[in-house]
Amino acid sequence: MTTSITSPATQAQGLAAGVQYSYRLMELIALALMDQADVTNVMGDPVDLSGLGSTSMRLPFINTVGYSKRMTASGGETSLNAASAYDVGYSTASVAQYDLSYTQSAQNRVIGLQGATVTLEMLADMVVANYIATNRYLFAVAGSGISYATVGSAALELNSDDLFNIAYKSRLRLGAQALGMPVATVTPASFNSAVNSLRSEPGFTFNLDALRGAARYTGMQRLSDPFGLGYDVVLTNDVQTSGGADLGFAVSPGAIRRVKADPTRIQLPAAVNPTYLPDLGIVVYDLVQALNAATLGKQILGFMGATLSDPLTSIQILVNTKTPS
Amino acid sequence: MAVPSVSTAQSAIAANPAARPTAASTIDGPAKPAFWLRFDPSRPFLADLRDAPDGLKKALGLGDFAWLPEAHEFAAVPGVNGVWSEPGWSPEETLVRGKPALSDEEREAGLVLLDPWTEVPSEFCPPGVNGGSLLRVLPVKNGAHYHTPWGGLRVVDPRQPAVPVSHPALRACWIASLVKAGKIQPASEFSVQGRRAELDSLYSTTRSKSYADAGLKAEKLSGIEARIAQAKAEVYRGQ
Repeated sequence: MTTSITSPATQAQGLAAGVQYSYRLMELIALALMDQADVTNVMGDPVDLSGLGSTSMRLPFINTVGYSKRMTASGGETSLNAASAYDVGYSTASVAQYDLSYTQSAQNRVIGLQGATVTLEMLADMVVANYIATNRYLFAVAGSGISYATVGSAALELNSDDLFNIAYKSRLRLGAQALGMPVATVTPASFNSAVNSLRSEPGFTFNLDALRGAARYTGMQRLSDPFGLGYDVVLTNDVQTSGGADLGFAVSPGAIRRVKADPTRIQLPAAVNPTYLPDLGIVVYDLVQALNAATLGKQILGFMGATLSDPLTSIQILVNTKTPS
Repeated sequence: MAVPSVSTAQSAIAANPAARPTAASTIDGPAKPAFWLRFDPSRPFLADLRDAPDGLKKALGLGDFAWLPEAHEFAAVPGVNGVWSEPGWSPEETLVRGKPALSDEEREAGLVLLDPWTEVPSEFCPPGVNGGSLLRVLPVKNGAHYHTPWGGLRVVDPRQPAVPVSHPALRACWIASLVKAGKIQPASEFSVQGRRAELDSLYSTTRSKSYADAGLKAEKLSGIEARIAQAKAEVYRGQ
């Protein structure tokens, strides 16, 4: 049932601790392990907001300098040109607190079937996957906010013209190649639409190797230059939608910056066995429960975020195409 | 003297039936974050209004096609693109208190982040959907799916994930009504010309290609010709 929102209200939690321990969870974990399109290497060096006294900061950038600025002929033998100006802009990086916890009842630990019952330790071992999934989501949401350049039409599914346009518009951003190979992030369904379109694209129908390279199922979510057009593709359902259209995107590495803060500053008591992963901005520790709860728990706490960087020195293209039905 | 009535143990039991345990939503659909609608005049879209009610089009002065400013959902996800949130804030509180500030350049360019509680009159809503605030929410298995009156999810087969629905013609009429009311700027004429030029370029490129199948080429060309004809529609200014 759809309900209107009339005022800010507490958002009910979708999952309640205690209902997660079923054998079906094993299947979910297996799926989660396959679902690892690591985008963290596309997100560049993290912005660290530790000890800043604020959950947000401005990321400055500068344009019309270096290769974008030529020297000017002097106005005369004794009169020189005025000092040059340059453009300064900024984007706002903010960090937010994210968490994930699991609990296991004492009884479940006692009677659990070894090898079949999911244990807290097994779940805690997957913290890296949890981290990647969170980052990929933040990355996809950040990419949906691109407004600098657009490819596609909300009325048409992703097609071969859009694939070429991504390469064309990337080429117009001179200098961005220094950041590395661009990456287009789209849904698997949109990728299928694009491949379908390639089946009638002359360049591909006359070149079976090229068509095979694009259309071949590999099972991977990170595809290395599948169209031979000079950019990689990440497939994920974390791509956001708006008004019946996907908000996919193509960016240079580092065009979306990862934001984090150092969790070691929490200084958790040793009794909760904290494991700090400061580079990722997360810490894993034992969840202390009241003794009469008869449960044990693991908590993952993270300080994370993502933000668009300078659109004038990096490739930032919104791939706005109709969501395939 | 009347004897005052008192509750008996039996009536007390009858008045307090056992509560049925509440179950979490069983809709298997994607969670979707709360959002603001961001209007950007420099990102126009060609609205296909052929499915829109004639009365609505007449009242707004719309034809079958019109160029309008695109309304993209700008997700209110804490820590992303300057969205600020404190632990414990609900998504709705984040919408109210954590809105990122637009830069001076963005404001000058006519960008608007529309209040999610903007009222949408019922005439712009699809059949079966009531008028009311812009932002709606549907509980799903993994949280909440926020959407507009023109979005949401439909359960076609309970064994399959719910499918997204959209009503683009009514949505476009509502956007046109905002332009007419002066709440947002019309689409940029310059950007629209750029989109038309892209279509002309696509037509030329397609015409010069060598297709193994002449029928396929003709089909592609006629498809682009139709889009070029539609793109000749005017930029809607609400006048």
